[in-house]
Amino acid sequence: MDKPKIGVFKFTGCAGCQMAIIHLEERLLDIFGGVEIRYFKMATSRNPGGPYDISLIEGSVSTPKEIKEIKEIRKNSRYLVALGTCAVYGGVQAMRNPFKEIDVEKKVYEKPEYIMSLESKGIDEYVDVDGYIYGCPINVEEAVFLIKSLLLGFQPYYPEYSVCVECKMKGNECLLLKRGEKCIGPITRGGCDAICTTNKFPCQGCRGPLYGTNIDGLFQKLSKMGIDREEVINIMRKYVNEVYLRGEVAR
Amino acid sequence: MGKRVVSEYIARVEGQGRLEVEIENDRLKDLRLQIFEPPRFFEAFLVGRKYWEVHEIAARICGICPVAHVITALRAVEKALKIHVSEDTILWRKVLADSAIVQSHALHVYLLAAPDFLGYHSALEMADKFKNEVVRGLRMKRVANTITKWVGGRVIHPMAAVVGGFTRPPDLREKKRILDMLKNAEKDAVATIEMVASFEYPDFEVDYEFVAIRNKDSYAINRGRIVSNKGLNIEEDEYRKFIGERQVPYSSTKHSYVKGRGPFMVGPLARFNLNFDRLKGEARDKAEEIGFKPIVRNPFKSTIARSIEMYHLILEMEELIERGGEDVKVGKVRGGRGEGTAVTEAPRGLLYHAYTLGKFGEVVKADIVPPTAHNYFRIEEDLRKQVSEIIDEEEEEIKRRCEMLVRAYDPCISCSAHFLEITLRRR
Repeated sequence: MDKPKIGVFKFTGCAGCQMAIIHLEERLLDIFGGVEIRYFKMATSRNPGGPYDISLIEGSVSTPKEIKEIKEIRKNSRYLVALGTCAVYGGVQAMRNPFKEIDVEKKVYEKPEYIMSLESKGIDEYVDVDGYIYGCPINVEEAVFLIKSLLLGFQPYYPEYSVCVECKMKGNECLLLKRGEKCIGPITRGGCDAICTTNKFPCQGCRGPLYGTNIDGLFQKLSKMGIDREEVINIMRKYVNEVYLRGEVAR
Repeated sequence: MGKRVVSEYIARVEGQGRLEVEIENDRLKDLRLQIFEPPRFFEAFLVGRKYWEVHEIAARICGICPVAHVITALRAVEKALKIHVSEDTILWRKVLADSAIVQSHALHVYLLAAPDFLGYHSALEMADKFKNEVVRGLRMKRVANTITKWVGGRVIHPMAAVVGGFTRPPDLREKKRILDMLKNAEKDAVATIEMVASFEYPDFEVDYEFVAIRNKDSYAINRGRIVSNKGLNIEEDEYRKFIGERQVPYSSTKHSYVKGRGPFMVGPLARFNLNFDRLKGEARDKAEEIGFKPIVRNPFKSTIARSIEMYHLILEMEELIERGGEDVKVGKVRGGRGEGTAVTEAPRGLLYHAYTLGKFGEVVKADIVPPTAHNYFRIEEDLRKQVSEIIDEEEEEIKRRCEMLVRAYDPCISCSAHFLEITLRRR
């Protein structure tokens, strides 16, 4: 059997999610020994291109050029995977989406007419996506699991529970209830192994919302602690602004 | 005769850039290093965010050097709010920064640069014949990453360093294991220096203005005065008085320059040249042994400077970790008005963050200049000189040399670009 062909692509983002793959260190050689890398700009100068069995997309789509590129990659890929919160939801740079483009550009560049950019969106705004790996950055074990599953023809299983479940399993003291911190773990999709709360940093929702949770309950709890609704919404919007702008989660 | 050569995107750099070279009648007519990495507007959307999350958002500027952005943002915000942190906090932040630089340098030396010198497309392809070397590079990365994770909680976008201190101290029961790992890594560091010293470097020198931070007692990373070999010697708060920035029409990255002079170089070679006397004795001796002494003016030899820095930083981490304690608790922190500037050394050089905070500690203004923006003007000038010097060579050779030169700066272009496409036109 031919080795499966893999492409790793970067769109608008920080390169952290492909770094997570490179940080597999010695395991990198094992995993990449079993596949054929057809495109991975950051790791190699031999990039023959598609077709790809699996394309991993890091970063959001934020320019007209990127819209064209993502459509092209979709055409050449059997499975297309959104790797990380930028590719899934638009990432932190989507915080700028409600602003008028030109205002944002003026704040950073004196002559904005030279810069061309759109709102920052997840890739499924423009193409069909076969798999989602959440997180800023990703939990790379989830990515490895997804690649293995796709190659073996299994439907990958990802648990549908909030960060709290994994946090409790770790035996952590609750940052929200016991320490009064602005933790939005109760409404955030798990799978990160509660890495932030285990390090005593309150969850900021980088993996996006888990649907069907009791958001009003969280608002009430935090408001009793003197943290108003607007402040909580600001935290929720930090990584996944588009979700809130689309009104998919109660404002 | 009109000639036009378009190369594919250059790989093994972090960022989207494009180089266009036009040669007419054997003279360099035009050269532009165009960075078209989509701008993300951090300075705009940071406005309105709270003081406690500035470093968390700033980390997302770069997935390779998030630690540098975290530490710089924290220091700037702490200055704005007049917060003093404990000795242990300062110490562990230094360990965090050191480990991140070793990680980034190991990545550059083994995965991005070595294939150039050994004639491969990637470290993965190198692994057949140079298995020991590749595994050594990955092992050094792993040691460094283990420490970043131990102190910062995670390698990419670490969360444990916060305004005022750390959310928790590193687990000191691990100290011995970590120190043993570092002890072993010393051998790898020495082997790395010997390996890169054996590479063949193109003959190319520039009379640079090197800029880095410097302080009295150590090889400056997280704090120091900004100095250069051409007379710059200023406090970090004076940065904007001396360093200017202008937009170039063809790029999403701006040109930085020393006011009244011009482009400058930041990064490992600048640090090595300006702070050679602050290196650990063993690292300095090893540098002298291979005949690598200031002032080195060949940018390709940044790779050697990186390997010397790795050795130095490993030795420094051992000493710091040995005496590091647990006093990192965050004291009383309240948001309020203030202004703060911090300049540090990221793996790729000078990194500047400045914030103005409003009444509730919300960001009113943010100003960030990453190392690749500092170097950008300089890289362009270097390319001009390089192309002029080898203008009679074949297109392929000119292209190869230009790519290598860009790569020598280890541009981190998400802090500004993602692939580099070279167009060469000869008429």
